[in-house]
Amino acid sequence: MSMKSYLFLLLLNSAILFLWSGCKRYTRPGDPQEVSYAMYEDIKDWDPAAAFSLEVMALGNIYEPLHWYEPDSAGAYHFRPALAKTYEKDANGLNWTFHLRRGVHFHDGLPFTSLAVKKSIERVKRIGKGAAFIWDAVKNIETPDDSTVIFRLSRPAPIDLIAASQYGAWIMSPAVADCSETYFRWGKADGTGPYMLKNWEQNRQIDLQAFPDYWGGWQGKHFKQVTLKIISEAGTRIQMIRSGEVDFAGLIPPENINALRHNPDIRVRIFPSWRNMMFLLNTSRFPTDNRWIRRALLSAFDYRAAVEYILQNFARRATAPVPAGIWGHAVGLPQPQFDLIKARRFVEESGIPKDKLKLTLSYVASVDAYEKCAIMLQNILAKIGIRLELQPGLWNVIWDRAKKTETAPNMVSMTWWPSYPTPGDWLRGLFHSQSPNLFNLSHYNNPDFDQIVDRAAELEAADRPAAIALYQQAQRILYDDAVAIFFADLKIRMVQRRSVSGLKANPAYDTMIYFYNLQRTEQ
Amino acid sequence: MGVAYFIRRFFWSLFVIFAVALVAFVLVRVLPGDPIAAWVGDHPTQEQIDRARSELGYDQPVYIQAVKYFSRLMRGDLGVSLRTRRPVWDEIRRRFAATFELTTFAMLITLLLGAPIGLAAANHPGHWLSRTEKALSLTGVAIPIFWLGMLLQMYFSGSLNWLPLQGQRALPKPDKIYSGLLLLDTLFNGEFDKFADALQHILMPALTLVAATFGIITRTVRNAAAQTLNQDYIRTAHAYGIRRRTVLYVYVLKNILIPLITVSGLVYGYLLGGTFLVERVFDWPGLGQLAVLSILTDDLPAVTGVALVYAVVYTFINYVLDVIYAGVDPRLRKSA
Repeated sequence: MSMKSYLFLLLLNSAILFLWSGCKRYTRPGDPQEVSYAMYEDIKDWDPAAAFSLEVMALGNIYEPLHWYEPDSAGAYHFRPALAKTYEKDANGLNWTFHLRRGVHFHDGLPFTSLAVKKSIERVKRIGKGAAFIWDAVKNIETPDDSTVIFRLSRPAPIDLIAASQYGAWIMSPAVADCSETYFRWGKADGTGPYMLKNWEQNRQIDLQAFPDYWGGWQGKHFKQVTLKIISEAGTRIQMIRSGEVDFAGLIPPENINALRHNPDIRVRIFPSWRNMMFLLNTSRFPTDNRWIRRALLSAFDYRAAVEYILQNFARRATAPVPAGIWGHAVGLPQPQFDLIKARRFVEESGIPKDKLKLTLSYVASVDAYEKCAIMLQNILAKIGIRLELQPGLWNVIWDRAKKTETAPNMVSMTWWPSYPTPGDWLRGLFHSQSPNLFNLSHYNNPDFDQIVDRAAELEAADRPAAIALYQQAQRILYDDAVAIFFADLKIRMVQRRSVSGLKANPAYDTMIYFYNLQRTEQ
Repeated sequence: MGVAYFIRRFFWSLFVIFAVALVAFVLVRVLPGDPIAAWVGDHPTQEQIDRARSELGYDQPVYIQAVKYFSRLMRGDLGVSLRTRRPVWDEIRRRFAATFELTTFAMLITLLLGAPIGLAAANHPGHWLSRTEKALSLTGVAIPIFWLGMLLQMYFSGSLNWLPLQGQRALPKPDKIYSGLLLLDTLFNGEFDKFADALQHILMPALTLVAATFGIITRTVRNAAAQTLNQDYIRTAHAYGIRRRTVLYVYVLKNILIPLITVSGLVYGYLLGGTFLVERVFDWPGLGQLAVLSILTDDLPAVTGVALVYAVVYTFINYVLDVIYAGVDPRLRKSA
């Protein structure tokens, strides 16, 4: 065969291959009874007792808690019954009784009883992973009958809030509650939720199928199949939502959102969340150990630019250490404003010579907003004679250094959200003195503050209004002491096809879509 | 080239793999940061951190960790992934076939297209084919692989709707799995719909990889062929009236095989490196994607494991090429 013939045949074959593909046209497999979601990361842990991350997207549709936390307006809330219909507690918050729903079955056919609740929570405590610490106060769990469960506590704790957590509060079948962690490793799940795990192909796809015996019934136009596709690249997720290959796409970068808004088939939804962004200020390292310098930093931060331009309004300005929308959020705190004259005055008040004003800021390099805020702050501080050295890096490196007094920077980036709906998660988790230090990266040590938040935590169970008052007092102290630049309460961005309706966001479960409530509005 | 040469070469390959394992072990331990962070999740307690450190053996002196690491390695145990909490070897095993299929498919296309085009370009300098080859080679090398992948996605999937946007397949797995390679298994099973689906899925990622390596092959073949065509013995062959086609395929082709084989080994390594980006763009469930995810989350055991597997594959490919050298070049056999 001559060279010309070879090349001709090669080109002919290639052309046939492409024409064949083209004539076939790639048909996207789809089903009107199926809803699909493009996730950016796969499930890490199928064990509901240990899962502490994005797993909620799947687990929250397979398992159910005793009840769901439903926020109302301005931080008020109520509980929507799930596996428990009602609950009561004693006056001191040491004994909590839940009355369970009858006629509920697990996906494996076993009936749901109080024994399942006992075994599930005991498993979480026994394994001790993920959010197991939320159940620390539980001394024992009693099951006087099949539909009653009593939590006996060693100290007062808000079991109603804990039982509604998106981590570590899922009730699993008693048949699997005794299994080891390895049982769940390759995708096993057995809850009472509306969907059963049908198939999991690691890093590719999760298929959920309607559970026919779901206690909520299937009378409405519910989706019978849920497909969670794992698509790590944001560009690919955008293409998929555009083409209709998926109905929902998570974590679309803000810069791509506006282009999608103009697409008539796509709807961009923005919901409040309980995640907030801040720069923690090191109160034990020179020169940020000086409160005037910390105040200067608060006045040198351009909050409007951060929220409107850097975060492109997918956030709102933080007005307290605890984000707006969760109970206990402090209102009416005096807000620091971007004011360079004031910042310069605070620097002078500090009495520190300008040649000694050298600060370090560590931030997670993969978060674009941190980087832009850090560069903005660096430029602004230069105008008032403060030199800011930026130290971008990986979280585990930053965290490791920031924990230790000797290696901690002056400022460190932080995004925080609660393990269960409580303001104490921020106030105790981030600012209570800790030994050894874990997340108090401000190295803040104020015994009065510690006492207030400890007392508030105790009162969460017995007297919530009193707890709120104390938590609000604690937030005022943090503002007075200028321990962090609280700059943004983040919003959740969800991009969806217009053909799907029924999405209702709940900041208590912000990484989850409850697919049972959705329906297709056009075919 | 005797058996002793291959035994020596084999032990040399083992040494290279050991060296890679050692470097990977040392590197991940001297890097700053606490690897436990990836294991314990976002808001761990001190008790959870201490327990994880103890469970994973990170609380032991480095030399004990090294002894345990290498003794586990000898048994084929690469440790547990901090990100997925599953054995690294299981993660790699599940993804290896996908990467091997993609890189081998891309390599075959590169050779089938690149070698004849390079040969033709050398044989007809100044011809349109030669100029096209030049332009394609330069463009392929110059375009960032990541960007090209996204362009192909936008055109062939977004605009034309010819090819699927991402993934390895849309239809279920083959009924019987022999090799783990979708194209082969579906073909062996006679499942032509699944074969077509797998082919549609592999085309774009493979073409992205081909674009980046096509120029290397054509350039090598073209230069080697051009030099050979200027040799006296080729002129003599022409003078004797031997057919041009015979001269090209018998005398010239034989002489460009050695540089072609050498560069093919390097190109295969380049393709393996390219999978880091291509698998990410196309969500191809292979080792490259695992490596990127592991690096981003500081999953040190997985990073070490993937580095080791890439080293083994690359070393094996080069070992095989050495064997092929001996087959095609009698001078090497004699010298050994």
